[in-house]
Amino acid sequence: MAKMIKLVSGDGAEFEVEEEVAFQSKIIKDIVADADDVIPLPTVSSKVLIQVIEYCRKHAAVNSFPLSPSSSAAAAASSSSSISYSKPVSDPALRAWDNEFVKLNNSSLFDIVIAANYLDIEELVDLVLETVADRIKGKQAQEIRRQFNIENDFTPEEEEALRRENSWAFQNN
Amino acid sequence: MQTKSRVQDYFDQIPDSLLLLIFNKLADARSLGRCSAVSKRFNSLVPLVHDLFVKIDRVVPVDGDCDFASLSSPKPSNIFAHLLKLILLTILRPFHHLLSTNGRNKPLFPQVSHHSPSRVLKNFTQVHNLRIELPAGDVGKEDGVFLKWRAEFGSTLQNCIVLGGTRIEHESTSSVNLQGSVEEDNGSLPESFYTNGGLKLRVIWAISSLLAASARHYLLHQIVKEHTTLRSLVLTDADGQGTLTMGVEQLKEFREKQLAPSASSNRTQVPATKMKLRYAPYLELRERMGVQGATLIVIKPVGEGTSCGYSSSKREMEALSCGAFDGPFQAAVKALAKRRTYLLEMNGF
Repeated sequence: MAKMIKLVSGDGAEFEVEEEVAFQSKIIKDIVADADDVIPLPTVSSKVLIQVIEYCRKHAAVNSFPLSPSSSAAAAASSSSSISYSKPVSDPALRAWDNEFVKLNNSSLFDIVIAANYLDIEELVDLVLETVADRIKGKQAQEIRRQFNIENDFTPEEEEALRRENSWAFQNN
Repeated sequence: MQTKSRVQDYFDQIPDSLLLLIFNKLADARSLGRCSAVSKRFNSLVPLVHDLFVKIDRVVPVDGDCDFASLSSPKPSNIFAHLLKLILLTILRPFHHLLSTNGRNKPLFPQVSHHSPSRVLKNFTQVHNLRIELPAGDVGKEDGVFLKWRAEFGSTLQNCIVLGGTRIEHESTSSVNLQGSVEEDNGSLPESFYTNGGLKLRVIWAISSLLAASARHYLLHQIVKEHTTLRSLVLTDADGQGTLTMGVEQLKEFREKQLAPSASSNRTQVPATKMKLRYAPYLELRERMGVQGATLIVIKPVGEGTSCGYSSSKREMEALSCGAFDGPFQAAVKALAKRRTYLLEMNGF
């Protein structure tokens, strides 16, 4: 019988999840080690918690089986020395699932990354940040501001100077 | 109507460390340049990225001075370069285009939207891992012929692996005319290899790859000098033909030692080298695709590795060549590594 952990969201809803699913979160893993099975998460809403649990459930199944030699070699080969919390997901089926998972609006995405950061779920943080990076790539500054509601705190003169200095970035080729 | 009450900036919810992580994943210099004009917060974080990818739009040959590298203007006619070109041209008339691409006498000036990579990189002060992509491979080639090289440099060439051959797709193996038998395990080169220009062609591949690699190496000097935080540098091209890599120790060496330009001063001097050549008249890579005249050439400067025992340097070579390329090319390398080795030596140039 799998051990169950109870998570309580910010708005008071309770969620029972298998231990291995909950342990995708390093924070939860540490708390439970101190012998507490009911974990209140006041900063995480039910909506977000449901999504996070869904991700953890999917990835718990994968993480409980060690990578086969060929896929771990592929993972090691493809992860360069760049900064990243975790190795890239090498299983194409899982990667496809991840890509579907992050087809969310920016609001939801950011809610999830904040929760995942709080709960210390490295792979999920990585996945969402990668998605945000993809949404920034190729866009002009104004588009980026519009998409993410960023305020332009430069004066027109400052902005002009910046564009001139970095003109190579602003031309389209 | 009043100005719309601004919905919260999404990025306000995440700490600088996560935003910086996003920029590191973005890595693309042009996108990051645009980000630095988005807001003051973005502007302060962009210069701190560790991972950077610069895509070169075009490479322009120029005469005389260019601000890209501290080059002296190229020597007008250098006897040695001329001689080498003449010898190679007469022997290999069909392959002369290998040497004429980019007008090799002229220094090359890579550009990102009419600016040099150095200029682009000025904005980034903490780059650890830099990847630069040229628009195309440097070595012209004929249809069906593929050539891939991977070179490691410190202040000078440390090693270069070259893989070449003619790729062929076919319906079934029986319809292909194989030179010699398919599996000649004694690995001796068939007579045809010598008589139908096979060896000369391979030497040209090796020289072309070394020329391309040393030209790229020379271009990097200013960047390496200016960015002391660099730990890894990879220079590839969009065709996936050639890769030049430098790691932490190699970068350090490059920065500290005096640059040794070749006589034509648009590339680093290539030292005298030993080449280990392996050849297979035909290799089946996977179903319906094979390589004819598959060749693996492992090139190292003379004098390197002689202090190690024979067996350890052999193992090192195996590891080196097996890791050089991906996918079907890695399989080709593995298959070729089993073949008999032929040794060649070449002077520096």
